[in-house]
Amino acid sequence: MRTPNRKIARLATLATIPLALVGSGFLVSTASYSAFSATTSNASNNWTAGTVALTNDLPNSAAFIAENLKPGSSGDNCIVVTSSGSLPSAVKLYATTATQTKALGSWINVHITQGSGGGNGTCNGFTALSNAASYNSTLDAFINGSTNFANGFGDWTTVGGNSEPRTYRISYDVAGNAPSSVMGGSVKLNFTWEAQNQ
Amino acid sequence: MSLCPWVRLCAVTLARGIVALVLSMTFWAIAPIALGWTTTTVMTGSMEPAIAPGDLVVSRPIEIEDVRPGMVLLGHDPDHHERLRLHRVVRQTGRAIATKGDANPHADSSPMDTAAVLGVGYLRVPSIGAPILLVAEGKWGLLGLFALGAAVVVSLATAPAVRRDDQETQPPPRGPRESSTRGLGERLLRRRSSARTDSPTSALTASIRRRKQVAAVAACALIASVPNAAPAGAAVFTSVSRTGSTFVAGTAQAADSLTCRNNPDGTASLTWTYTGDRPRDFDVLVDGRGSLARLGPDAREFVLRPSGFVSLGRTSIVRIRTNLTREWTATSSSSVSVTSANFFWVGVVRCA
Repeated sequence: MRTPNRKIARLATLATIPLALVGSGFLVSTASYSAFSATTSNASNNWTAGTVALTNDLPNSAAFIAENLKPGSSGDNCIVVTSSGSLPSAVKLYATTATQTKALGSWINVHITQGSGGGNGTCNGFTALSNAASYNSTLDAFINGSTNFANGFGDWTTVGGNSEPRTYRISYDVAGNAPSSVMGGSVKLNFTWEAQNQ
Repeated sequence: MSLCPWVRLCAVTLARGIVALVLSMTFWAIAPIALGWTTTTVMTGSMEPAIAPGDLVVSRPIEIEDVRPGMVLLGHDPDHHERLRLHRVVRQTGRAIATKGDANPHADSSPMDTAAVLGVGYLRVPSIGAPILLVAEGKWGLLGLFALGAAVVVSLATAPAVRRDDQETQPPPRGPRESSTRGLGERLLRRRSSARTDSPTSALTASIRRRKQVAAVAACALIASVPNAAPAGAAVFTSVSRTGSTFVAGTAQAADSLTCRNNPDGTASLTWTYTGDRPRDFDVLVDGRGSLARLGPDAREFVLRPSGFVSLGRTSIVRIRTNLTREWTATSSSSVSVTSANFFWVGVVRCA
């Protein structure tokens, strides 16, 4: 067997480089085709890169079904929201699919605090966090001002990797000076928590 | 004669191939920027398996009317200032474009405004942005390993594929055999010193070295331009959980079915029905003026007695007002008429 000489080496290099150029073109074009050709997207959420997952303890029942409200009526409920994703994430609370009639929301005050304990439809055992954000405004301001992740309420950031619960205590009261024009009015909304990885 | 020179030739050629592959892939990612296209580094796996973290994605500008469901759009993330979103279009409603990461179970909660769209994904250059990702995630150990691997490949690729003492033309005798993994700096030093000799072959070698150095600088510049050219396209994972709520204000219901019945003792009984929420109380209104009496929430009857000193055959209209609160009230639409006749302590009330 001959030992390689410079000519063979140069030939090898000259053959390799165009091959690499063609190869890169092939790689980029096939990768592009698979990424950008319209496909139905996969619904599963368990790819290796990580997950964010959020649940609450009242997913199929309502946090509030408050009827026959009149000036001075009040109530509260505690909802435990649990993050079980693998990625650190920020969690925001906001209103979705909100409707109201007779401007009732302007006369209902909402107070939201974050803490631990309680849940399953009761605030027994709830302890507020001392340094967490709280929300104090009318229901009307909440459904019009907190409508998506960007303007949602809350300062909870999860670490990821473990199940992390947080309780949101939501209380309301109907203003004592609510006029008779709001009689029979209603407000419907979903309290929606959204986690996004950071 | 041994296999060693062939192994060396293969290793050096392979390393050159890898360098050429990486450089040309980088070229694919960077060159479109000259056309005004946008190159982004994918930072999260929310578009897996189509697009993976560490990929570079080249997006070309697009007219909004050309946006179709299934396209992968790059735009400003409405949820995070100064972050970009690279997700697939689900639907468009007016100015709002709903998008979704392929690996996300649901569409993004905030739609992208048409004004926020930067382009549509056109080229995906796999894995070339991995070092950017490692820096962003602070994985310095992995980055170090990566740099070490890159240094080995580059030093292999820049080494001569054939050692002079391996060639059939007899080279001048040299020192002990060098290993191909000998340090880059040491070899450069050796090249410099050999370039200083005045033989024609040395001059040729020197010009080749200079060309190689220019190429190396150009390659470094190309690779260094990647982080500058590539704002991070952080496609996010999202998860949403919700619970419904209904608030309904009570309504003061008017009393209904007002009836009047004459009693033998000269009084008249007023009765009504009521089906609404338990009120605070009821008021008996006479001729629409003030309350004749205030009754408890369970009252359904009131006895009208003659009052006043002298009244002859005066007919009054009596209604019932439901008071949910002082302000939240409803007055019955049905009414009864009563006639009262009085003369000092003798009087009678009769249903009219």
